[in-house]
Amino acid sequence: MSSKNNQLVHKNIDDNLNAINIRLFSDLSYDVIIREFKFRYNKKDVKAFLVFFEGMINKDFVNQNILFRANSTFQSNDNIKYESVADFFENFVISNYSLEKSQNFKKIIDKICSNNCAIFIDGYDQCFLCDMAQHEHRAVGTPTFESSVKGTQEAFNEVLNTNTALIRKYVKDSNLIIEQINIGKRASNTCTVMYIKGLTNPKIVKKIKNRISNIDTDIIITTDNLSQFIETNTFSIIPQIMPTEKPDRVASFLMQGRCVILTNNSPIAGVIPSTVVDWFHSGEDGYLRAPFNFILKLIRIAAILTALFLPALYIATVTYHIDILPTNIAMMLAASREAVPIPFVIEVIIMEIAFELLREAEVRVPTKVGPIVSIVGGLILGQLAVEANIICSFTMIIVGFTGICMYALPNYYSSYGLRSIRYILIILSFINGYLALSFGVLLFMVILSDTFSIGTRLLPNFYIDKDRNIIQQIFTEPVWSREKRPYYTKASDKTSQPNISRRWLFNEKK
Amino acid sequence: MRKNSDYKNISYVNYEIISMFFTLLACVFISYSPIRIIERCGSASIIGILFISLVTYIIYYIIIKCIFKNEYDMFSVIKKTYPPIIQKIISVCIYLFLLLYSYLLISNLLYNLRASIYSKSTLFSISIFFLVALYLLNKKGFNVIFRIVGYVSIIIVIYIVFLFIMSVTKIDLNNFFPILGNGPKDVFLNNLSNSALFVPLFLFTFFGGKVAKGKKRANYKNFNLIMLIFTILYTLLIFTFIATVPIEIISSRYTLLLDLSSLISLNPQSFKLVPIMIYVFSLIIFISSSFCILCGLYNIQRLNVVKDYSKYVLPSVIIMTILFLIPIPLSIYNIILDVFYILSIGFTFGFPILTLIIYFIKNKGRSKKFMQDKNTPKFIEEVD
Repeated sequence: MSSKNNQLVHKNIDDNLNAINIRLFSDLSYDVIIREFKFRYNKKDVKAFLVFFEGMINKDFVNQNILFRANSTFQSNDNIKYESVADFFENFVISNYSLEKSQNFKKIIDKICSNNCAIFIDGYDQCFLCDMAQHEHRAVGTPTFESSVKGTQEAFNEVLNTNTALIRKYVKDSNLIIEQINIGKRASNTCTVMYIKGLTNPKIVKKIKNRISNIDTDIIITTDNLSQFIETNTFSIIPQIMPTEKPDRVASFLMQGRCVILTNNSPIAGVIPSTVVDWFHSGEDGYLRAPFNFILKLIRIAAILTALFLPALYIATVTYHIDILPTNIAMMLAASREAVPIPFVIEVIIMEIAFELLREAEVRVPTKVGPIVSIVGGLILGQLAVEANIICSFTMIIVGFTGICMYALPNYYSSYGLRSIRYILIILSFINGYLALSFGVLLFMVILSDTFSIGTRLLPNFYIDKDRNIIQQIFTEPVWSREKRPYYTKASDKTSQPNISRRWLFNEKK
Repeated sequence: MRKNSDYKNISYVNYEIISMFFTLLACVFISYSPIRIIERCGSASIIGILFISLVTYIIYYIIIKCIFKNEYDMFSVIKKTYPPIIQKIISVCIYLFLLLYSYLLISNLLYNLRASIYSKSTLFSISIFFLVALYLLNKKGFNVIFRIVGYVSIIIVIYIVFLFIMSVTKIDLNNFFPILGNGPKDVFLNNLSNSALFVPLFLFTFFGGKVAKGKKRANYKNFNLIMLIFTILYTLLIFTFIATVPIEIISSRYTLLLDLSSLISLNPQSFKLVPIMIYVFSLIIFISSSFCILCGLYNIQRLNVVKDYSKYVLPSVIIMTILFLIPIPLSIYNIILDVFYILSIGFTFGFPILTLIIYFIKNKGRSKKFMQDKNTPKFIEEVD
């Protein structure tokens, strides 16, 4: 296979045609288009053919800018003099902005597979490659998992060039570097690494590029695939590369000194490095005024803590430490549990699994059936389970409330990890109450602090100095007082604006 | 990949080292130590704790000044003071001492828990979590412990302050009289034996130099802050104990903090603080005991007994497991505690003072000031 692909283009067009037919299996693949044509140069007819895959390139462009112009050479071009036939074809016939030449069949085949049209000319041992990509693709739409009320409503689509253009629209900085790396042995896909030169830590950029260029695989389909290839701790339950689908968020992450990876055919960009602090931030935080932002952050922290610990605390309390409850609550609990035959822990686990099933079902079923699944699962089954004394009403409240809290997380992907941790905590608290729960918390913190998101640990330092502490990072300050970039990004340029960014305060007359 | 056991890869910031040593010292809150102080000083316990804190601060300030002015850390001092064979014996002794300290830290909490909540469980069955945590944290190394402790130490402060605020309504100022408690001799002289609670300061001599690199005074500042925060909180705790529970009752109790946590609540119908106490203190014991063993292992690596300590994590945990498998009656346990108190004073104060005296005699006129590299950044940014 490799020796065949490494052969060079012949001067004889028939040999080239034969080689292309063999390599592209044109007798088997219906979408391989090979069009032979002639053009006139120096009063001689020159044979040529072009080849491309149907549906991947702009057919009108081929007709108008290659075939039509080739035909027009038969009328009168006698006065036009060029050094060679190839020179004539390149400068007179083809009028495409992107034009490459190649002798290597492997490269030619790769280019044909990547939306290029290849043109061979008789008597010339090189092939012309024109990028004429025209896919059928989605238009720039609204975000799906990062929807917000305030802020921009644009989201990436599956075309890399559109996505990079969207990012360039926000970051009008010539220092924004978008480096391209091709990955995939069999089906090559384009991956880009984006960073701002002089701002992003070069060590992190180097590390990411090194990891990407040393991937040896057949195919990389999306950014998520790529993320799994380059992340440090594969088996950690916490994702280490933060996904986002909003170009404005990517722009703000780049400006914080982070690196962004993006692949062709993927509407999701991966942000590196990311930490637990990012779990508390949503896409619209940058647009909200500071007081609302503060309240929202408090709510999110409460939501995360509740989602993680509430079921485990419930199990630990009712199983081991019932005496700490006020008497009236303990009595109510006992009354609601009177006829329930199964232990607390089984109750909670059953209900949690039911909740997960409901969540999965709602994602899979058609949109119009979704609400019905919610009503049947959430209301009817829950209500019936309590009435039939299978589940205690307290458990229903706990599980329901936990579920709501889990949905309050701005970063949908991080909730996968938290959900897994929650089950571990439930089991631990059943084994040995608060002592085991404490061990679970330690385990969670060990996982976080031992997981690396290329460049930093997921758990950043709690406090380095007054400008670098986690409280300040979680509770976003007013826009005018965000002088420092997040310390965990380890940006080369640590300051984003001077201490006095509102100079009008001094200009205005009192 | 970075090797956890490599000395050069250990990185922490000033806040983390303060948190670590405060957490280590805060383990005494749950131990027998407050009761010992109250037994000794009576109603003058606050004066007692302030006095021993002050004495320890003065002594240790001199020790730390002597070490870090001339050398990088305690190991450099030991290496320049003793011949290799003695160094190895010392390092093994320190390791065994820290192993015992770690065992006592865990068993203190376990005896507390068994006396109250887990009365039907055996000591070993509830110690399993601690042993797993020991193994896990020791395997992950110093960096992970330092990172976690930054978050955990805040909880202790909040808990103690919360305990104090909740007990305000129950304060009985009569408990603070007579002011000099059991008499000046007990408060100022006999009470000095309680300074054994400052064992963790011995470990400070292992690490201080690394933070001091780049900023000479950071080390002393860290030490001052550790002592200040600990003294304030310990005083606050002792104040809460004496103000809410009569001294005669305190002397007869063993699980003081646990009793207080179950006693204090906003009203009889509200939730009790016991689970929070278990949660907070088991978390700090997980970290503190692991740190002690890690320090012991690090010590034998630095003093060239072993090349890479990470291979000895499992044997250390196995030794701890065996210790927990041996059933020890409370009376014998108390004897071990007494012996440990004497050993602690020896290791915390005696050993560094003796070593420094020999060091200065041996290196008289030859000692050079520890070179401070001003270009080295204070906070080492790791890119992994």
